[in-house]
Amino acid sequence: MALVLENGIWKLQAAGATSTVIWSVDFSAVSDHDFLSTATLSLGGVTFTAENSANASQFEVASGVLKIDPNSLTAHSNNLYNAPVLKGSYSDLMAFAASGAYDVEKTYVMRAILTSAINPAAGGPIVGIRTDSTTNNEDLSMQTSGASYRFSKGAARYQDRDRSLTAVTGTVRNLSVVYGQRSAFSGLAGATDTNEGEPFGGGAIYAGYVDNVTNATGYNWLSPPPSALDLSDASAQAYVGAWYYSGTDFGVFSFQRLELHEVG
Amino acid sequence: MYIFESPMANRLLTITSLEPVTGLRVWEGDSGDMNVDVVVADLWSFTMVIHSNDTVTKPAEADDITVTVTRP
Repeated sequence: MALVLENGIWKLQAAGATSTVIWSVDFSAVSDHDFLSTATLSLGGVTFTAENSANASQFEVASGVLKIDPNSLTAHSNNLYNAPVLKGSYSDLMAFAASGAYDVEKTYVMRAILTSAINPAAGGPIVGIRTDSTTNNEDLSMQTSGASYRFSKGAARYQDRDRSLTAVTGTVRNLSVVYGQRSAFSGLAGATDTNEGEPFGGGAIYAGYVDNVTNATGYNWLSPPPSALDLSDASAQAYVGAWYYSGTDFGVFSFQRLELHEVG
Repeated sequence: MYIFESPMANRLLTITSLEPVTGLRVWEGDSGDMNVDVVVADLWSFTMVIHSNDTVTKPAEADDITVTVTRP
């Protein structure tokens, strides 16, 4: 183990492991763009495409902020994947990786940072990676679901957890999804800090593993490729979005930054 | 009474209980049924089935817990 300094905080890191933000976008540097009229936009050198924009009353970059206002009855779990999301090709993002391509030996962290800490009463922001939302275990996304965190694994599988009983209670400033094809996956949340540049910043809310030896069943288990999430697949994407099914409408979810880490 | 809400696909699951529901896990079952593990007070859990017609089958130990399924 080695000590590394992350945003002024010393943390332990496995020997030999390095972490790099290989791609990021600060929306403060992005010109205004309305996804409701033009679906695609280059962000940090990667083309992102709006999906389900018809289910958003606002979906734009305005004054340096990505703003998404999902309509009611939208979701990104349990066979209902109609929430507005902004998606980018994973292979295009991986062009910025150390080797210039996806590396199965490494772990990747996709983080979405909001402009302020929020406490939505219903629905919430989404960040995820996927190859196919409609297939079990091929879409890992970290979300809030009102008073709960939600981790969806694609198709019909999801898990809710009362936010007040986790490491990050109350407000949420950022969400991350972590995936290493040889190791594990997890969902992280940060309460008030942006955790910008920190690969595993925030608190661990959800953890699972990629291992068919110790436990071949259970919600926390993800089967090894090729049957599970294979980010080398041409269909792989990273995305950010927001949803709102019913209850008290939060309104506009505002994002200031997206970043993708490569660790290992 | 505690109320725990979990929006599902085109349905809203509402669980009313004397002890707080602290989490749940959802996965698909046969014939369109949904299996739901409900965790109560982080102390015990039960598994219920939400059928495609929105009826709910739950074990006797959950008799004091009310589950409603509503559609928009």
